[in-house]
Amino acid sequence: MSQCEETSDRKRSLNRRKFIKLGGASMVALSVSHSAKMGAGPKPSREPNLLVIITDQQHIDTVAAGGCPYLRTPALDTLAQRGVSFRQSFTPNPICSPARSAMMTGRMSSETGVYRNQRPIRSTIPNLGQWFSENSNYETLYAGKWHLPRSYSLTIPGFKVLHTGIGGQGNVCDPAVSMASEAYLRERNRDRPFLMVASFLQPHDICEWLRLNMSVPEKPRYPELGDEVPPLPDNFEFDQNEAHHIQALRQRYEGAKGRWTPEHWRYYRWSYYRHIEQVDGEIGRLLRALKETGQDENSLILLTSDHGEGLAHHQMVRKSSPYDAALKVPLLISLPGQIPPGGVNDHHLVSGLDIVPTLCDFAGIEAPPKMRGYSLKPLLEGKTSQWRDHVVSEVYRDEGRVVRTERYKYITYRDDPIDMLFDTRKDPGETQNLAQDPKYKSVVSEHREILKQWEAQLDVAPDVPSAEVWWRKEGA
Amino acid sequence: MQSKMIAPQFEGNIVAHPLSPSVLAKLGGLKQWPPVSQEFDPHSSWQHTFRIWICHGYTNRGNENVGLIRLARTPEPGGLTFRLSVRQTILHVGGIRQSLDADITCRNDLFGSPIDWHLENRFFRGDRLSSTLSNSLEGRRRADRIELRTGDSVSQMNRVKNVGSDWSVFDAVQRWPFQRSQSPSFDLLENLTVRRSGQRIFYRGVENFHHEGRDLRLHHFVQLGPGMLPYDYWLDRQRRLVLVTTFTRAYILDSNYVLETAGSASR
Repeated sequence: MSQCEETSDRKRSLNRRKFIKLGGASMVALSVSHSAKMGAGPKPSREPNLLVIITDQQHIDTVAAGGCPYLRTPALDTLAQRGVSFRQSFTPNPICSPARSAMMTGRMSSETGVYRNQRPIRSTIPNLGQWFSENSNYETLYAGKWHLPRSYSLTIPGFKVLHTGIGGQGNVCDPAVSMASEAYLRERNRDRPFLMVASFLQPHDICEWLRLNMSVPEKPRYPELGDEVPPLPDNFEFDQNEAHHIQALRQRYEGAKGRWTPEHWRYYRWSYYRHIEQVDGEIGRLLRALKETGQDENSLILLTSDHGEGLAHHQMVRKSSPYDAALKVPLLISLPGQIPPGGVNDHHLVSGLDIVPTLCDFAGIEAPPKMRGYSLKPLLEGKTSQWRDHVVSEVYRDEGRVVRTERYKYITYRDDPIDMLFDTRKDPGETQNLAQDPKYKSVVSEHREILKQWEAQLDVAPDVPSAEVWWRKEGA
Repeated sequence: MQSKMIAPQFEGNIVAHPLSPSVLAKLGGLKQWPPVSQEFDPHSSWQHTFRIWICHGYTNRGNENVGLIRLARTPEPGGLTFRLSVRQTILHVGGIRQSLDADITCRNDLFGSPIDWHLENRFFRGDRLSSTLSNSLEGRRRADRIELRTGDSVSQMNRVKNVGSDWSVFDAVQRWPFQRSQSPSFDLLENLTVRRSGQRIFYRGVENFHHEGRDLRLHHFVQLGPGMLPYDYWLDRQRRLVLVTTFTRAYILDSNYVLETAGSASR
């Protein structure tokens, strides 16, 4: 941490107003509505424990309690019922390492220098563990996938590592991640609060599944499944007027390479839901340990994922795409007595960038400087607040950008002749690209301007490849 | 019904097909097929050692042994129950070794239903035990209820009916008839702790498999249900479970296998 360029700023008092100003995003006033009233429990007398559960490659619509009928998720259901589910929750970058670098620092992946997988976080930017271990009384613990740069490591700056894992094998190693975390939760000395990150690999094993099931079998491998196999999504068919980058991405993936039949697409979806159920069982183990040891009531639990999964939407598999299937992620946050149970927030635009400031806020410490995200605490507590009117995601090795506003979603790649614009109110499945429609020229211009202004505030790492693209060059 | 296993075509360096005996053979995961054991009786005492082999879906990298599991069955007097001893070791990145040891009293029924069990979970870094990450669990089945006790904490699962565990099914499937049938629905206790309801097992018939000059007839069962990818169980004509494939994992009967604990899983 002594290497951090922000060190001199760290002791500086940074009140919320100033913090928001530093963030540089325009803000609008929005009233906050929750579907449930605030819990009646007493306010905790000390800092809450912070349990951050990260899954890998989890599509946002994979919680049974959230309405998905194709799977059973008792643990995720418990988390949804225990607190607030954000429905407009976006990853800062739909690839593993870049997303994780942003989630763990509150900075964009172009700032952390992690513009592609397996790069380390820029040494001048503190991660969550480093910040908490140096600025709080919290015990900082990590179990499972890290990927910054290595997937698993015995040494992670700022954290005591409880357990590692096995790359690409969540079905083998996730039980060990949850068992090690469970044992620690049961045996730990409780003289100070903990910040624990339990980082599961599932459902990322779907990547292994894709390689092991790329060929379409002559007949269904498991005909016994019958009607259990879910249908294709409504946006399986899509607008062919698509950015060339996305078309190329699709062609590289197994669905196109294997010339999948609709039946095989459906079997892929069935298999993906089983991966979610696997990790749900491991999450349940942690929840049970917290409850049985009496730590449940004073523990904030935040569950999210680094990015989503194609899941046959737009005939995509995997990640990296700017469509919502890959760009949206679950975000469930709960704390008895402080966050109302059973809430669904379906209108505030939130980001993985908000994790660090949110955790700092609940812990009662200042967030690191130059945060690009905001604390969700005011929203979670049901208070009227100002909130951002857009979120930006970086896409695919820093070559693309997505700007999502309350109504529209704008996608642009460098060196790509086709931009994309979707009216998310009329077309939530993103099936009609409006970017070339003259009626939407001003909307496109407005979003390009938002992007330029967003980029202008960033402290981009010197070695990212997109230093000269229009959104950065013109915005500088 | 019999069918012949056809060796699959890989797509470049992508395996492109689910794990099966023929895919494993082509990937080099099988090594030597277990020798025939004429004396094997699934109802009596036996011991199996399975090598745990994983595949990342590539033909040329990431396919390796990551652990072993040793199962030992001992019938108890009266024949209504038996003891199942489980010793599983998995190697993780950084030289971490997880050891799961279980001693289970099982009913001698369709699922090897666990009645009482003790589970010991331990983590080692090298030879050093991580005591803060290790714990034990006691479980017991009483009527339609299961109790799990960890230290002073007790949790319950209610309304259980047919129950197996991921390890007792390895035993039970060896006692199943080789005939077209479907099991009743059952709950599977994964790692003796996580409940996976609604499991079913189907008999698929015989598949003929040629490996290293030998013609093998393998009886094939399939397990499907929520919470897990399908399990395929492959038995020889002595009813001995010789191979289990499930998604990226293969449990390969290999009595002489010794885990090299000095190494650790790659990637």
